[in-house]
Amino acid sequence: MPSSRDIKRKINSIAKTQQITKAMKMVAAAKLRKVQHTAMQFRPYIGKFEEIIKYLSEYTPPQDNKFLFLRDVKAAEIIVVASDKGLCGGFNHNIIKETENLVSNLSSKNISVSITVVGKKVYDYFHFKGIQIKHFYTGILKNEAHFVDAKKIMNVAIKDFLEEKTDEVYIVYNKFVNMLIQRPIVKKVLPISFEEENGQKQKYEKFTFEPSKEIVLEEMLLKYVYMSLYDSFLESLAGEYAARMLAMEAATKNAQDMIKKLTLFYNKARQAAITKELIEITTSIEAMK
Amino acid sequence: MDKIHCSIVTPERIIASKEVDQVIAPGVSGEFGILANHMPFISILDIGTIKLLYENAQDKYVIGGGYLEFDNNTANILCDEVFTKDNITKEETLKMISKIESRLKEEKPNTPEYTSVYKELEKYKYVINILFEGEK
Repeated sequence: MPSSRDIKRKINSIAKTQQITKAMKMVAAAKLRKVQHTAMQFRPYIGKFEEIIKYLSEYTPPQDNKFLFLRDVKAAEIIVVASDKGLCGGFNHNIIKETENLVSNLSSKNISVSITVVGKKVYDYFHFKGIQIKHFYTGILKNEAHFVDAKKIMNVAIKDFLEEKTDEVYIVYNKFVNMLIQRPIVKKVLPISFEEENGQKQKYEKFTFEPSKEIVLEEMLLKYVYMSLYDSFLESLAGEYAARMLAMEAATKNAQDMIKKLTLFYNKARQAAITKELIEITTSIEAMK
Repeated sequence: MDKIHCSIVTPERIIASKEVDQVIAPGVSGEFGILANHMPFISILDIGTIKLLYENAQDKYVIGGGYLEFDNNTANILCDEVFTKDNITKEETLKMISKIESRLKEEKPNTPEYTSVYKELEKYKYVINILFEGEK
């Protein structure tokens, strides 16, 4: 049985850990509020944008624009968006699992896969596993997401796509559903395509474009590709803080439980020591009689 | 008379969403106005001012480029940036202008970078002219 001093020391150390997790939770909560707000405000914009692009892509024959053009898929690129830091529950793990699924899925179709990673944790994992990473970015998703970063990363992917080095580009990221749920999502950004929906096919036949259809398509599709990555940044960032907040809350609660258990243990040990001492005294008195 | 349901959104927030009689927007090939029952229409917007006209009143929004989609009496305007006196001050605009001007000197003329920086400069110059017009 450990001495009461050992237990006391253990309680102290756990209490300190609890303080840290509590502080981390508060920090994550404060940051979450900010990024959640940004992510929520962005949703109507990307929603409207997506609607227009959807109609456009439905009407435009794929060969009219290089972003819509479907090729035989020989190589694919996956952009994985996750976090730089750990301590956020299954956040990074879910992304890794989803990515590996996608990779094995594509590989089984004889498609060569290259991976671009945003976020240190996922990079560490792939590096450990010995999987080749094409590009790696860190320090981008810190407190807030910037559109310029999304543009920079996407430009590299677009360049490869247009040079036909890759035929498909996917983004894997955590979508912020609510405080408790972040859902890993695989989104195909290039070539731009949507699930077929009947009934709206004819819609854009009647549209007029200004200055011209080619220019409108060119500009909007490019912007849409950038926006897709930016959107995933925002969602991922909000998800990260939500996950961290939750993980830290659980850690704080666990520490609390542990302290409670150990305190009980400590009291028992203390009482046992007192009883032992009393017995010693009484027996020695008895012996002296 | 039919109304147009017009909404202006930026990546940051929804700027406006209301029933209007007429939308006047700065297209890249010239300013245009849209009345209700106009034919379906998509346009790229330049730096300029969007005017929403309704019931003897009008709202003005200074934008830094974007897209307008009109269909079935619904106008969706997607802007990169909308400048109002709430989100930018005259000092900030002037600061941006001097910052961009110094950047412009570093870039070589006739490169894509130069053009995009030059466009930025034009944008803020427009903002200062329109938004803070008459303020000395």
